[in-house]
Amino acid sequence: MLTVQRVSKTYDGRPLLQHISFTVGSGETVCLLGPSGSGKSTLLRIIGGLEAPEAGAVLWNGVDLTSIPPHARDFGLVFQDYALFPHLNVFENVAFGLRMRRNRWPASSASAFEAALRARVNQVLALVNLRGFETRKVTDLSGGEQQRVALARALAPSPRLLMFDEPLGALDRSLKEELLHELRTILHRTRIPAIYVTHDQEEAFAIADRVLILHEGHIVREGSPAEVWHDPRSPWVARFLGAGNVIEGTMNGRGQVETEFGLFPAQCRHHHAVGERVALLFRQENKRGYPLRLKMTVEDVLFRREGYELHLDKGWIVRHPEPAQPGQTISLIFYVECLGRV
Amino acid sequence: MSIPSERTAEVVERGRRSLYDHIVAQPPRAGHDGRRRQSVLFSLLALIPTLLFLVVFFFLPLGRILALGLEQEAFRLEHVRLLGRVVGFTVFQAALSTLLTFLLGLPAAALFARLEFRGKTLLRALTAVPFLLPTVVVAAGFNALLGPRGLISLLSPWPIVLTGTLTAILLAHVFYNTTIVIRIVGNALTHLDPRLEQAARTLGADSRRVWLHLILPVLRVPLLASGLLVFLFNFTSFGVILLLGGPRFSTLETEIYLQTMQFLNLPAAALLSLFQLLCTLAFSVLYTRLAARSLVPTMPKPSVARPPRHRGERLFVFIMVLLLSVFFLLPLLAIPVRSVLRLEADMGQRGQVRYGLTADYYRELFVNRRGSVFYVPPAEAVRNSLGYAGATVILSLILGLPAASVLIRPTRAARLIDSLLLLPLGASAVTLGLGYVITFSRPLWPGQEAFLTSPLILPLAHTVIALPFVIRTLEPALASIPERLRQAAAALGASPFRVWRTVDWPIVSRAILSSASFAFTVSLGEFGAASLLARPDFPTLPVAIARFLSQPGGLNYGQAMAMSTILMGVALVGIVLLERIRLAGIGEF
Repeated sequence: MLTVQRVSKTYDGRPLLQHISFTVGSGETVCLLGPSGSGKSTLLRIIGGLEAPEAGAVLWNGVDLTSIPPHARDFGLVFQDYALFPHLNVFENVAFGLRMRRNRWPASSASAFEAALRARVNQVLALVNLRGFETRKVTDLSGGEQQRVALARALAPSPRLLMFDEPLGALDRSLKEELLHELRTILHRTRIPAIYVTHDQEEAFAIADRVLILHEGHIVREGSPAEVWHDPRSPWVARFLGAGNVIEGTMNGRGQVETEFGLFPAQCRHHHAVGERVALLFRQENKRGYPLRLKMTVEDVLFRREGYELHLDKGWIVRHPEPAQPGQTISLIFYVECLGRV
Repeated sequence: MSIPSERTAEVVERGRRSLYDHIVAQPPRAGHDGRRRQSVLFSLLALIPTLLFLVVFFFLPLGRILALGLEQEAFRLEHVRLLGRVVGFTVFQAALSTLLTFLLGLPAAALFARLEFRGKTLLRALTAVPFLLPTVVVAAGFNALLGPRGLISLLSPWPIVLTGTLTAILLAHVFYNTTIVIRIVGNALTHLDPRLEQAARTLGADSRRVWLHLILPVLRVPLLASGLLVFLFNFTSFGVILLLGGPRFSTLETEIYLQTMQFLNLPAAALLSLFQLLCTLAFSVLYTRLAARSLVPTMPKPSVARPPRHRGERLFVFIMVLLLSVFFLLPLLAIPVRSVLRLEADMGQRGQVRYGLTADYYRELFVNRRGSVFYVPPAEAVRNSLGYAGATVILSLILGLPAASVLIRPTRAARLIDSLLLLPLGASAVTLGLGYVITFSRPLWPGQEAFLTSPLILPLAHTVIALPFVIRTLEPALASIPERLRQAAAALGASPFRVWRTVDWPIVSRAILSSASFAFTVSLGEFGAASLLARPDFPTLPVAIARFLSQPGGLNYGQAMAMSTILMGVALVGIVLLERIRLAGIGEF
């Protein structure tokens, strides 16, 4: 089990990561989700030993890894731009990690090692659907194929942990979905715990058992994709996930929030003092909050695959099964949740 | 921040390399459209003087060597034996020098590419300085340090004398060429995607194996390319071998010189020259093949350098900085120091030990001690050199400007002629000198003196050597003049002259100045051809320095140092000047 304990790091004098703690259990896929610059890649590199934390520790099964160099950590890393070795063909790229760990194999003859190596490389190449690519040059492969080689290369030495740094960021949408599905299958089949870094919530929700949302050096929300989506718990997370329309207001003395749309019952998880700024989330599909009917004016209508996207006055955006005319007034039911302090 | 010599070194190196990779990397050329068209006839007319010049002063002498070298006389058994012996040592010393250059150059390249430390830019510039200095200055520097009258021998408790040994030759070669490795390998290393390395580390490779299994294999093209280039420079090295190795060592270059000047055995010299040319050609072809191969996977980030992190890295930085600054500073500093420092046994008065500062060596430069007609005061060598250099500048500009302005038009003929113009880069200066000795030892017209004795012969040879640099400097500058600027100026009502004056001239003048400085520096420091062609009563500065270095007596030695100081000073001023011109040019286009 991987334990990250109160890891801190500054970048150019500004705190990038502040006391980050979390664990990754066996067979679990944890996704670090955050906007660019949130320090998620740095956190990954700290776990991999490529960078040193300024405070805190990374532990594996309770053993501190801080002084262990990356090559001895046994963590596989997959990069966004693949980082394949240009001087080696597909087979040798995948075999690289096995050759570097030659000493770990039982004292066997060179030929026995080569045979075992060949078997293992062919096995992982089959796993990533690249059988027959052994002698190809990596520079001649497509982006998707290159990323499969990179995955096979990381898988081959059977690492204790797999780390993915925006692995599908450079691929187009359909390829992304295809590879995401394959990756999910492979992770489930191999039961290797994994940390997956991305800024794309759809990717995160598709692959993760658990999502950690990083913002300004802190983990601001943690949970399964469904938990995080249904209960974002902070205005920043709600906005980042695009969960619905977030409006801000001020608590009054009667447990209500005064907003530019009027007065709304707060029904917050925590008690908020009078005069405190509070955010409310208005969305249609999630029935966690209390229902409310609002009349609004349509300003623009966009066609989407899942229906229509209506742009309403005050900048609200809602999904709607039918098209509407700009200028039309429509009546919609929203469910209102309290997101807590702004 | 940019240090002058650093960038100039790049230009010079590119100039030297350009013969080999100009097939791959053509200079920027203007597109077809919009360029002012000139008739083919006009282009040819403009090229005729340049081509004629090259035919008479490059191809003809080379042809004469070829003819002589292929004669039966040249292939006498003793000549072939000589060739075998000389080639053996030439290859041996070149290979050993290359190996040692890499021994220092690779860690230095890694240092500059990977680590950040104070004074890095300055140190990097320092390592590039030797490459730009005349060979005699480098030889004088090592002599002033390690020679029998050198600082270490006379001042330190361990009187080490290394001149006349292979060690001195190797040290000077490493001193000269380390910058090539730093530049080529270092640049590749700087731009190598750091993620490759990180991937290898997470796959279980420690630092040693990252270098062994990733960095060195990935960088094999730049490694081979720089290795070949260093080998080529060592293979054709002349001044260092002659002045630091002494008579015990002979390479192809020095043997050509000896056979020509001492034994007057022109057939043997021609045979050696022929072989030399063949080798250079072979290396060039190899290099071109290599340069055509794809290079290194790069990433857009300009640099991966960072401050040293742990103790091992800090120790590495400390040792390398110390080693590099001592190795590159000491020989350079030794010259001026020795030129004002009177040491034991000077002035030829044995037994009388005198120490102290002195200006005598400089004063003596103006005195003709021997009072002979053929023995002019050394100061005249300075004047001769400046005169030759001036003539070289004028000649190479007269021949280079029309050629360059015609060659920027991208026709197939232009490309062919371009290659032709660059060929002189491939022939060594000594070979060129030999060619002149063979070709011009008779008068051009009956009843005249042999053309070889003409004071013009040396500027002509230097022009052949400088012309490729001059054209290579002028061409991109001329091609960079945007046609749209001309059109805009014309549309605004400027007359053709005004257009030329306001658009072309600012760019052209800078290119002219810059190529003139190149020609000047090349001529000033050139030693190989001058040692064969300079008349005894009109020595150039390098020839005079070499002569004084080889003569006994503390006074001669001191004067050699004084002249070396002057030559080094002028060369450094030239470098800085060149750099100023280049720097000033950047803001404008």
